[in-house]
Amino acid sequence: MSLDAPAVQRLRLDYAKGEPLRFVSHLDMMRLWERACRRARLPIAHTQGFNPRPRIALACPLPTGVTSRAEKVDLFLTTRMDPRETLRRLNAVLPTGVEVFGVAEVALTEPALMSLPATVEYQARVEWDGPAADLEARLRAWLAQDSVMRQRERKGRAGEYDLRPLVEHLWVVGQSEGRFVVGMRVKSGPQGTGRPDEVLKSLGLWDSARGLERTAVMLG
Amino acid sequence: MSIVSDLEVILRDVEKPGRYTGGEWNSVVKDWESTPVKVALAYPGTYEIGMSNLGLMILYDILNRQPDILCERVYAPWLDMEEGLRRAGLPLYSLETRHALTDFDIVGISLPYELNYTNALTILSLGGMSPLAAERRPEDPLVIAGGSGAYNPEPMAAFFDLFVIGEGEEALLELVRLYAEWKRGGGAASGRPPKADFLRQAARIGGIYVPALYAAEYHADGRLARTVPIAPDVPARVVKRVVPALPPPPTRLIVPYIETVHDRAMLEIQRGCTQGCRFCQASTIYRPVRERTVDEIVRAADEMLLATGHEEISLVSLSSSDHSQIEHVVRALAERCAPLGVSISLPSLRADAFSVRLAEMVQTTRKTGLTFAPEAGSQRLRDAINKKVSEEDLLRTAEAAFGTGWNRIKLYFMVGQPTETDEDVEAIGDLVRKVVAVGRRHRGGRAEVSVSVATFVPKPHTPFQWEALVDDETLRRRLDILRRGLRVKGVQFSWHDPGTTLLEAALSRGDRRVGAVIYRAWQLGARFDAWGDAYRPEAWEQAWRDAGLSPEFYGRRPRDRDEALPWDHIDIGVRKEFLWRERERCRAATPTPDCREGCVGCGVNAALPLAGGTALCP
Repeated sequence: MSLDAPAVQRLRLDYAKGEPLRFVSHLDMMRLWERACRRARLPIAHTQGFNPRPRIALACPLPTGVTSRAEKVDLFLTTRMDPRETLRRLNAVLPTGVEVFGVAEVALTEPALMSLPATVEYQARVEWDGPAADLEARLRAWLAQDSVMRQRERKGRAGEYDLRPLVEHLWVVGQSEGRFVVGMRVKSGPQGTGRPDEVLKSLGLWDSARGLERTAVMLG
Repeated sequence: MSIVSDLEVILRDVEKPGRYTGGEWNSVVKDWESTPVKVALAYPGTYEIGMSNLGLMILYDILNRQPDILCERVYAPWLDMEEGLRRAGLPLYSLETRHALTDFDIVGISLPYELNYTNALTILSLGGMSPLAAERRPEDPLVIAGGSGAYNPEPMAAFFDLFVIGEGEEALLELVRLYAEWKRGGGAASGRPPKADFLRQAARIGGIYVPALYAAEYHADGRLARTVPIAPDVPARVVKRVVPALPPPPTRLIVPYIETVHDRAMLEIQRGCTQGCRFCQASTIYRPVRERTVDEIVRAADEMLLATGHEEISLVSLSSSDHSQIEHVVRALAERCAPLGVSISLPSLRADAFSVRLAEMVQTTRKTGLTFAPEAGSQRLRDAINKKVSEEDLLRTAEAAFGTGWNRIKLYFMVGQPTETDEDVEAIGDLVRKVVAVGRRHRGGRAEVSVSVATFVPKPHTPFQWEALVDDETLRRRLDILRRGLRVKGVQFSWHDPGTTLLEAALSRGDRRVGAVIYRAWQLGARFDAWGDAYRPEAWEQAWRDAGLSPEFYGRRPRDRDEALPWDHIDIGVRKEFLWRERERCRAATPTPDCREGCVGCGVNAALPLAGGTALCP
């Protein structure tokens, strides 16, 4: 293995981030992948320059506090690997709660995962005293608004932004563990990212929300 | 009782929730029901710092290797998490299986530092039991302590059933085995008063100190008269445990998710130090020195890197340059690490050109900074504290470092050491300016010297254990001298004075009565006393007043040679006469050679009952 060798293969893995890792942040996940790839002794390519970094890229940062069944990571390799073998080796060295369930080869020239605009779906269980129809009405009323102004802090400075255009759809998925499951489809990417906790807060459903999970990521 | 309630809501509102969720790679989760002996090891500080404690990692590994023992981890919850747990009525739980502390047989707390003593009380209380040993119920776990703080166990004596003095690799296992046997014999049910019969048996294990079996007597003026056993068959002095040879190091180190203080593979290459710096407690309590062989180190490094995937490996020791085979070690590791993209860090380098060469060998692309600790500015004071660095050494080191491409050197100094004068402090400025001049010559305007200064705190079992902490007025004056002397381009000066120095000094050399102060301060809200944003000086002030004691009595009072010290019954193998002789040599500014060059007669090789009677000294 050499740190200078160029990438000859790019594998895109689909993986789940389960309950034990709910509070592991996006940056922590980056470190987790780097270390897992070292444990699996995968021939990961490195960036060139002053401070070489492993070429591992995650899609659409997952907010801390959210689990996911739809994460993606790209690995750039310096020697060709059998995709199934790569999946097997990684799963053997990943902590309980992270599981790779899909792998595909992607052209080296395809755009970076992070740069792609995406549509992302989340689900959460919420408490709701009343029939599903009332909850559905609440969601429809939210969607009918022209704008939903929310506060956010960026680099220590408070600012306002409009959450409404970042949310494509809200719906009631069904019932689970005595609660209603609410679904959300939001935008994620360089043009803006809809935060699922913010959506639930503005709906007045956050305090009772449990088990927030990302259920789908659609790239492009 | 297992934690079944919903932690999710508490965790989503606390800072760094990843501290409290466990599940890390290499953490060991055993079957709770079928494993008979259950031990929780706790660190009285944040997860990020506790995860960097190699001692706990070693014990976790040893205990979990035993099929009938499980060992889980607990860290002190930060203020927000403590509040969240208390509000929800949830106990503090272990990270592996989320059991309350009261579900364990034994709770062991490491005491690495005086300023996290109050957190140990939080752990016990939030874990579901009284912090006071005398008030705990018979069914509560056995609560034990170890670590460097245990070398003066007296201030914390009220909170623990027993202390493990010295290295825990063998002693802890013997203790746990004895407890398991006692428990199997129905001991927990029959003991009355609770656990007393077990504790008497435990006191016969070497290195185990059971404070309830000793009484402290005082003179009318408040000084300690003596500490004596009050039960038969209890040793008058508890001799620390050492392992004759270092066992293989743990290699399946737990890999944290969140960033920790030492977020890297830690490999202990040597224990103990032969330099003999007189201010240093680690120098005396960890004697004698023991090295791991090159083969052992290389094999462990290979295993560790494969088992953890860490991007950095740190060679842990008190003085890396002193390992007799360090060059071979570093060369062998550098060959293995470079192709893996793994970097090597060498902390605690001696200030000499050899060390720069070592640093050069591990540095592949980036040359960030090199750190050295001259500790004092003048040769006289360095001789007095026995810090074996000359000005020539340091300047040659700077020459070598700046000359081979480093831009930054970091220097550590201490202020307030015994015999120090204003001139000694002025000398720090002179020395730093000379180092900067060397840097300029080689690196021009890019040369940087960062100077970090701490206040010296006298510690038990050192030649300075009889000395007073420097007074505030002197300290302020010397700080001014430093500020003036270090106002030089290319110098970054940082002074660490969190206002807790007197507290640290008082707790460090406190006696049994100080336990009441710690308990009271904790009741009044003292937590994380080493953290500026958490430290509550008013709680401590009131606690000292309520106990009728003063921190000055413990921190600022010089002791006579014949005064009984609270830790006199704790035997570290180094004789008190040797420490006094070193103190006298300090007064005369006479250095004592490194004991690798010849035995200096500290007494450790004669005192420690080692298997086969072999001397461990080099």
